[in-house]
Amino acid sequence: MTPADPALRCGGVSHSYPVNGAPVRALTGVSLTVPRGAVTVLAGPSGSGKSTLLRILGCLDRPEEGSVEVEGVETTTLSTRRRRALRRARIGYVFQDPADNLLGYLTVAEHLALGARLRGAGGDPAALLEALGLGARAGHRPAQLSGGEQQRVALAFAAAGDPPVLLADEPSAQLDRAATGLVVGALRELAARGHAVLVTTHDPEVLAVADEVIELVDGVRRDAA
Amino acid sequence: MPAPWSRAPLMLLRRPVVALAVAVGALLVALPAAAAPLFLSSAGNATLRQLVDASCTWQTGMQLTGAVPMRPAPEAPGDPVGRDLVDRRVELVRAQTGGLDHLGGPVVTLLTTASVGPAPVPDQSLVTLAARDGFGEHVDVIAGGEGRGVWVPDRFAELQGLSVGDEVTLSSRDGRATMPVAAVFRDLRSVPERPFWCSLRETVHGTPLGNAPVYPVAFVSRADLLAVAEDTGASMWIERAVDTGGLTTVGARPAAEGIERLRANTVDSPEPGLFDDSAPYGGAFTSSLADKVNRSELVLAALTGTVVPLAAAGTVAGLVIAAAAGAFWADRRRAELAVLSARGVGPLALGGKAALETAGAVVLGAVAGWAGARGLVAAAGPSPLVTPGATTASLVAAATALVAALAVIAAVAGFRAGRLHDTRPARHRRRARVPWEVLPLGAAVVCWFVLDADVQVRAADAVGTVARIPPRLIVSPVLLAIGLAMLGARLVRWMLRRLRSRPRSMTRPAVYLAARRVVAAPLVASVLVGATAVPVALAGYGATVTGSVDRTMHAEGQLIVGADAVLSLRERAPVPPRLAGRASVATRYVDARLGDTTVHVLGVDPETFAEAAFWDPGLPGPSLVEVLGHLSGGGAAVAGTSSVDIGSVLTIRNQHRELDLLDVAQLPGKQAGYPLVLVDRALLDDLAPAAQPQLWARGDPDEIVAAAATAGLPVSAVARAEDVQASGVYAGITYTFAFLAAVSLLTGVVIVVGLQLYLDARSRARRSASVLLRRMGIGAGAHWRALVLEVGGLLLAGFATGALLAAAVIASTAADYDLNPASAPGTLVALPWPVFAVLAVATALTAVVASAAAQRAASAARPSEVLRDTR
Repeated sequence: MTPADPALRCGGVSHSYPVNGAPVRALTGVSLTVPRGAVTVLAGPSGSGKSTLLRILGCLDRPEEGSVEVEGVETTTLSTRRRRALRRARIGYVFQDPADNLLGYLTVAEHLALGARLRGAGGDPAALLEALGLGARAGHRPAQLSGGEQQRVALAFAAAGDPPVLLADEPSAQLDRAATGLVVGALRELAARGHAVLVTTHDPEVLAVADEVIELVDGVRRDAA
Repeated sequence: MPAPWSRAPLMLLRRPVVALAVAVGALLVALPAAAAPLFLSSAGNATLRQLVDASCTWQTGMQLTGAVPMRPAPEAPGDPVGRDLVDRRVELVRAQTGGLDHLGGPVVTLLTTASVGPAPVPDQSLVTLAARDGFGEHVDVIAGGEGRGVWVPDRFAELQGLSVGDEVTLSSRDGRATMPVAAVFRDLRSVPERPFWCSLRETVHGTPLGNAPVYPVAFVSRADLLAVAEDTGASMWIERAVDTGGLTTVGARPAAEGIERLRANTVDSPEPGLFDDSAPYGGAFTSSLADKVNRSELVLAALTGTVVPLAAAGTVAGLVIAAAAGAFWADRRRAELAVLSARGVGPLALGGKAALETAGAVVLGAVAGWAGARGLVAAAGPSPLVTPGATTASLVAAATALVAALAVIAAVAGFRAGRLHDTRPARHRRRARVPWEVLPLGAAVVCWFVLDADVQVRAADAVGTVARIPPRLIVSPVLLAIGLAMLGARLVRWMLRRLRSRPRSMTRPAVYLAARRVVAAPLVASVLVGATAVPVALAGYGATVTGSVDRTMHAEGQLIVGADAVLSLRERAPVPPRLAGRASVATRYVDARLGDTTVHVLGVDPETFAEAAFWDPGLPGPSLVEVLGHLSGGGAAVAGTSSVDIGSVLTIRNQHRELDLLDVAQLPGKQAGYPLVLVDRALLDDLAPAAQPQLWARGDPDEIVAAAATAGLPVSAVARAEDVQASGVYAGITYTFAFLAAVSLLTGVVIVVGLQLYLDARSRARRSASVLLRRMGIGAGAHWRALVLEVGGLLLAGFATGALLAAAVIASTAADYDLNPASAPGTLVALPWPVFAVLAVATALTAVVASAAAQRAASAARPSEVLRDTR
């Protein structure tokens, strides 16, 4: 692997869900690459397969067909245990709902310490918090934070321990304009720190900061369609 | 950041419902596991107590008998005699103390026969003269009671015209003593027998059909008796009673060994001249404590085979609830587990987290389970006493249950957390199609053929056998019921899935909502149906086995004796007024012939015999009333001929009588060995006027005997139906019934807890649905009715399934409910309709109460909060 190689790559990914016993196609032959140090946005209307693809890229689901490489490692053939280890070491994942990303009984600083410990890394949580504008919130618990702050803490939690890949599923979906601006700033900051950032969204404010936009329609890449 | 093990144990405090579910799960695991050793110990101690209580306490403890010569034998002129001999024997017994904590102090009795004079009725002047330690405290004194003299029974005093203060002379051959009548007491033959006198039963009452004369018993001091026995000598008993307070099988063993040492040091290797052959009479030593301890341990062995599988089944049921509690914990921590799982934390670590968080509640539950088991056994067990070893074993079992519950909770929580992300649905679907239900069904079949089917447990030594419910009659049906319930649940799930895809027309909102909720969650609905069916089936089956075995054993005992009590009379007497309507006088002749076959003949009064004799409507052939109707028409009935034509000519004392015989399968009083011919009493009176008169009666035997004594009936022997089962042979069966009932109750508790978990797990969705429905104009009443229909429908379906399962299991095992196949009448099945009625009511009540609680919680929700709560 060289720094020029993409952190994340997938090819020909197809997936379907069973609904009342019959399969419903969610993705069809999707291929993409996510470079380091950039914000890549996965856009498309609701039901286009963005979240499904993100979960597959984040090793939270297995595709029915296709390949997924994280840092040059083909993940679809790995055992569940190896995929879990890969998730722990190399992927940071942010869910859409702020409450799904944080543990209510941990302070902000404890979240970052836990994230770093899970990755067996040290790092400087304080610097990350400062960079994301959360320095004054280190001793606060999630319930004491606003929605925008929670989502930025979720990004910091995901980025703690410096995983090369950061995936965020519509991080601004439940935020107002001001909060969204802060989250977008955080995404850019993380990309600037060298993370490969992939975000699903249909928020124009997020789209505006994207280095690359990949659009999905009915489970197919628009340019491929 | 605090270490996880310092923070985790406190985290469950924020979720008291989960803590409660986990604690209850652990309790339900620990309780049956801890109860088994405690129950077994309790049953063993109760059996020992029952055996000791059922026999004479002196004969159970120790009874040392020997003659007391008054003059030394010519070949041993130095041997002790008379008072010296008595004192030295007592001293020898007193000196033996090792291991005899459970024995009372020695009680000495001297007996001889003497004549009392002057006697106005000289041919009835003989008495059995007794000197027994403490006798004055155990007789009903009518007059006197102070000072030296003879204590005479009231009947004798009345007959001979004696009263307190009269001077009498007691004499044997050459010995005599003159003394006043010191007291008149109620004759021991006219009062209910007291334990103090049980070893003198034959002296007081004589032996049934015995030829030895029975004299009234009078009492004097030891010195006066020896003076009277100057010439004839006396017989001497030294007895020590068993103290049953706190007596356990473990504690009784050293006592039995101490008694054996006492035997060895007295009769077996005695001090010269006390008991040995050089004395005029040798000694004899009796004690049945060791036999009773052995028999109690045999009952324990018989019980172990049934109680342990039942306890294991209860523990497994508890583990299912513990697993459900683990799943409940995982559901309530779903968001947190999803965060950690997405960050690569594995199921093992998440299971460890579950274990750390739930450990406190599990420990509390296990401690409560052990305390509950101890309390239940103390309050409702066969005996409140348990041995220290059993307590230790129960603590170990509870600790093991604690670890098992924690492991199951951790495993289930870890498993569920591991399935939050990165699952392989295709493989799971294939696995779900495998019919796992065949495993318990196959195990049931294997156990039926592998497990012991013997209804008796035999001892390695000579203490005999005890009856038991064979292990396969417990284990196989339990597995069968569980397997069939699982199969039924799969069928329900399959049917609901088919129904889900079918459009339904809107009927009433409540019915529509309930139906759609049920078909929308086929897995949960099918599990609830199956989980309800299992305890219903087990309770129904257990109650049927209990009732059927009890009914069959009762019928066997009653058929042998013929009625609750049959009193043999020395001469004919009418039915005492107190027993009118439930007693009948009969005569029995045992040396008759029917054709060439020796038979017993019972002459009965056809008008009253059915009121006294036992009959069960389940017995084969014509009823007793029909048989007696045949007798009234001049006919007779015979049972026990094994369908062999043995003729119809009855011969008694060379008199022949042609009978119109009705051949029947059973008759009351049909004892083993000989066929029984039932005839009108007038016929037997005609052929054998000296036939043995009997009083047959229904009711409490003690009350019947008392009524007969009050009426002055000359009773020579009493046969009681309950004595047929009083030997301890069936003790294990009784205790198994108790344990079965407890397990049924426990499974009922399990289902209620499971239901609460089910309702609680869905409370959030139900709250949202309630609020949304209210906005749509569907009121709280309709929502509650929908809940009742949903929960009640599933529970009632489970009840019906359980009842069907019970019927299937009963039909396939009923033939084995007869624990004494050698005795008539064979299995009599008793279907426990009251138990099923109670279960149905309990099921309906549970549905209504649980629905009401869920509705209350849903109604309390605020629409503004619920509609914002989107998770």
